[in-house]
Amino acid sequence: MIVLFEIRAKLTELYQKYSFGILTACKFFLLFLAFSQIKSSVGYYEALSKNSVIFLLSLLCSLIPSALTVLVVLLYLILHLWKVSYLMALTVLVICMILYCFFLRYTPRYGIAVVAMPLLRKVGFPYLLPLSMGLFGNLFTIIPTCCGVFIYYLVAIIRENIVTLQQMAGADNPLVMYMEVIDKLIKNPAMYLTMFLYAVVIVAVYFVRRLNMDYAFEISIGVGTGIMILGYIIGTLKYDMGVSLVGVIISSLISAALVYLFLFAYRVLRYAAAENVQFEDDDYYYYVRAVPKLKADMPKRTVKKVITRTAASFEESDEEDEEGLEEALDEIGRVTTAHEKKPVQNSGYDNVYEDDDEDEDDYK
Amino acid sequence: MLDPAKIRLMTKIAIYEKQEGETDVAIGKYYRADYVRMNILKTILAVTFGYLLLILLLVIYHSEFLLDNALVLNYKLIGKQILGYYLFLLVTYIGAVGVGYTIRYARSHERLAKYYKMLGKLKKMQEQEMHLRELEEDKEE
Repeated sequence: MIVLFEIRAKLTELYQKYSFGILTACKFFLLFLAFSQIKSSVGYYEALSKNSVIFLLSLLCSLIPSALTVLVVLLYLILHLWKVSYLMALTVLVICMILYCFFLRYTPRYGIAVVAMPLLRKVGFPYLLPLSMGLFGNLFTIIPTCCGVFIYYLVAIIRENIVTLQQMAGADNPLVMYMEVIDKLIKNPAMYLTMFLYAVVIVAVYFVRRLNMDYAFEISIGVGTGIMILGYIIGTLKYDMGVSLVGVIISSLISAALVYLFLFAYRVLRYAAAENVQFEDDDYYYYVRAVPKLKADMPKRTVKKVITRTAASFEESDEEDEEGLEEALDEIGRVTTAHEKKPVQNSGYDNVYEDDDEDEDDYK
Repeated sequence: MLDPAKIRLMTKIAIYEKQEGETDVAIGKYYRADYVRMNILKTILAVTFGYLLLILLLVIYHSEFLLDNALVLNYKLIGKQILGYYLFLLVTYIGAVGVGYTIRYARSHERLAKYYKMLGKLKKMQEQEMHLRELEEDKEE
């Protein structure tokens, strides 16, 4: 436990010093992964698939607001698809616009979930997203999470059928390709089930963590993981979810562990970020670095003395106790007599204390 | 001379301005009814645009069926259905957005009230400081 506190203190110190750098670096790393994943999945545009381009795009996106980041990532995806089929690219663009008009414009803060979902799915820990959204976000996070699932399935369908789609694009009626993709997308029970399951997990985690009880956050992670595993077991029995149950269980458990780590970091660092502000009055320019006070709740050490006693020592101690008791009774008796002898003249706290002192004198 | 209490207050004000202040001040420029109405209007535009795109996708998806049955289709019924869904969607969104933005305005208003209170306190501090300076100058004279 002490090691954890030490790690926490070090984390806080580091974060307070380099919060901007750490956040930007994390964002850059995640975006680099996202762009690389898009490249490996549908990287048909050679000029955009170069590592230097991905590096620059990630750097740029790590410095702009998250709503714009989502836009850049989606445009990157659409440009790659444009190289294969302009009709496919237009379809994805129109779908993204519909998602924005109906849903995403109301949750700009959590728009990053749309990009994170396909990325996490590719890495193998998609369950991380609903658990974290329920834990750290609100119920509105269901919208970007479900949109993310939708985008993932759309890209997956295009990727899996790319050869067929290319052949169709070259045919007389290129609309057949579009119909094929939409058909596979809307007749996909696995997608609907995944959306429903993630929504249920977010709701469950959100409500459990808000309960007024000890370890509500930790319990909510457990509940969310349980629902996820159970949902996939039931779903796999009825539909082809495209995942193995063992994989789901292992991935869910790892996701739960990772979310617990996030929770630890979140609790420590949420209010730890130092603020750099500048302002002025008539006399001075102020450049203030406001560092929040953080008090670590160190555990109280209680020392319990365990003394082994023999039968003889028990007898001795009993005798000592009896003697002590008699002495104490004598003392009380003497003090009481002193009180009786000297009548209390004044009342009030000060006088009471004085009276006690006098009593002691009498006793001596 | 530096006044720690004043610096603390100014720092709090600056942090608020940096984080939520900008949005709150922008919201605070409107009356509640105007702010909610403006967002409802934006929502109507967004939903209409999104719905048109959705209809476009559906028309392309069913294009073969539509072309094959172009002469026998009941366009009046289709039009009614499209309009019905659109109105249902619009009413739902307007209701939800109306409630959502009213709550948002109220929260923003609360934060702004605290902000203006802090500004008032700062103003008082500055007035006191000015007064003290004037007294000192008078003494020197």
